[in-house]
Amino acid sequence: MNVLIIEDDAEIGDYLMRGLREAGWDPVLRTDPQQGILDVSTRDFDVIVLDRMLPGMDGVDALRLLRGAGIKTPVLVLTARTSIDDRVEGLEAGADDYLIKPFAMSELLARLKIIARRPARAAPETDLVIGDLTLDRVRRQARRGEVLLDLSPLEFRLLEYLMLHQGQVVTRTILLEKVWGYRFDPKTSLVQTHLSRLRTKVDKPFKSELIRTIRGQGYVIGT
Amino acid sequence: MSSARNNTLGSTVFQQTLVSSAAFVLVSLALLWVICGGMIWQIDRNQIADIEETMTYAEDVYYGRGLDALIDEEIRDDTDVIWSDDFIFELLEQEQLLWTLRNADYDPVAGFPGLHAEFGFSIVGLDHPEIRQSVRALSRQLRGGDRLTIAAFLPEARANIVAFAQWGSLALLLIVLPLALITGYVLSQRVFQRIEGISATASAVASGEMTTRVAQSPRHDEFDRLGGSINQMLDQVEDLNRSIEDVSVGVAHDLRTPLTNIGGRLELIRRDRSDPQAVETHVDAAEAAQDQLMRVFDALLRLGEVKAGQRKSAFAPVDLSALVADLADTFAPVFADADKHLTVQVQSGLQIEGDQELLQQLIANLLENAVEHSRDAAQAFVTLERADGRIVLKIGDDGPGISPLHRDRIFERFFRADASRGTAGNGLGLSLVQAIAALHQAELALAPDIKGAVFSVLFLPRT
Repeated sequence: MNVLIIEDDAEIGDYLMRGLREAGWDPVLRTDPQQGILDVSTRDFDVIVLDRMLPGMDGVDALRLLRGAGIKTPVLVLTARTSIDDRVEGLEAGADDYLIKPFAMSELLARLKIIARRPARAAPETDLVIGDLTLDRVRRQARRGEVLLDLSPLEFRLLEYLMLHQGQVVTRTILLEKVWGYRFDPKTSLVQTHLSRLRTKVDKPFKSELIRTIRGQGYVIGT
Repeated sequence: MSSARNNTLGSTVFQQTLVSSAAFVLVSLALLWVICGGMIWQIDRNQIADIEETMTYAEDVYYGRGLDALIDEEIRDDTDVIWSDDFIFELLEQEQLLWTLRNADYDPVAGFPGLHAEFGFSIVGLDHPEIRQSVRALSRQLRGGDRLTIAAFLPEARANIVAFAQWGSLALLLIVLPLALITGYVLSQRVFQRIEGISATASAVASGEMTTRVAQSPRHDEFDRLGGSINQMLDQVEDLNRSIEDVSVGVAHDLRTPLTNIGGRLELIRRDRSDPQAVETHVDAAEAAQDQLMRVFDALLRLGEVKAGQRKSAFAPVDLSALVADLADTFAPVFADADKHLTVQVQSGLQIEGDQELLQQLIANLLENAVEHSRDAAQAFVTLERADGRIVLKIGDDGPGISPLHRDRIFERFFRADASRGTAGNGLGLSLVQAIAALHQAELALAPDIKGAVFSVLFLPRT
């Protein structure tokens, strides 16, 4: 996948380039925002990583420029600030996600995979299927084979989110944000607790394990 | 000391006293002269009217019945037409009018020969060897060249008033003004001394003696009040200073452990380079330590942000009931996994004005506090209800509670009771709870005299 990185800090740029290359992506680094914007209009990228603080230009302004020019490439904004106003501003300007510096490469990769140019979903799928696991999003029911799983609404949402991103690593913070809507980092093992409960219902009684823990990164669902 | 005296003379109090005293003296002088002038004017007017009336009557007699009638009826003494020198004393005593009638050659025809005056009103002395007193005289030309002069002694009261005004002015200038000077000096000296005490304290504090305070007098006057508020301010500054010190020590302490950890793991990675399994373990451990560092930073940043009141802009209506119920649901399994139990009792539909994210953080921190610091198999609870016009959130457990020694300090940044030093956490949770509560103008309290630790947060309902 093609990634454009607009980042003026050489060290972070280098770190991003290495991380993305190792993950099998095809990254391009631009330190000058103007050059970056020019690149976007000439080449087709799958996703853009945009630093919020750029020399001579606010990342949010650059983003507005892009969106104003009708460029719909997904954008992840990197920011050093944590203020909610900043975040709202970024999202309003057309960012698809944002990440606070410093961050773990695994977190960035997981988020990029989620937002990176997805084939435009024709209609929201009503049934999600992985192996013998099916999720009926209309009736809010999950089955494995013929067995109806007894899930709480929260567990259902958790499973739904994982299945919507099957094969992708989903981190704890992404789950907290997307499933619970929490923006704080709990001290307790909140996500782990719920995941392990989910697994005892979805995986434990059955032969094959669908949900796997990727150490130090997060969770992934798949056959 | 000379500089102090210079300061006294140049001081505002002294100058103000001087200026106001001068103004007082000037106004007093003006008043004195206006009153005395008024009295003199009144006296003079009566006398002039008296003289004019007599003159008119004399003229009537003169023109109606002739010169002789005038002399006989009005001027003539019992014996003499020309008055003797002694007769004048009698008149002076009885404050009677003096008369003089002269012919065209200015020779006295009748009356007192020692009275000379120009035509019209004038004030003149008498041509008499013993009498020094002045008179007010009116001279008129009569038909045939006769000249009639009528005069009255200036009353003694008039002279007294003039003397009074003169002496009074002198006294004001020579006594009151110097007195004001002395008063001003003494007063400013006193003020200066009191202020000197306060400013000495300020310089002492500025030079680092943080514990110095302004001395208080038993008078409880305005200087004591000023000193009192300065002392109060200094107490707060000192508290703040101490808490900054505490925070720095806390930060250092909380950062040292994970940093040491990372350093150690890096060393181990170098050593175990050939063993991928071991390297993996070290990287995991280092990542965990880094995670811990990030948490401290996030919490500090957030705390700073909340304390600075920046997040007020994100205020919106929040369904607190839904929020609490949702978080309680989320945390219930965490309690269960720790072999503890969480009871939830939430009245529905309670709304407040606030920042949803921060409120989530507040509730989560209190719940985490309950999970981590309650006894084994503890019964924890969350309640949300409306009571006395407030929305009351209570989160607590049934033991072991917080030692009375620590009750006052639990909201301080980085404070951790020694008993909890062993557990994870950074001592920022409760201070964040407090800061968030303060931002929402909610009252945060720790219930007293209860076996467990029960926190209550009193929110104002949305209006």
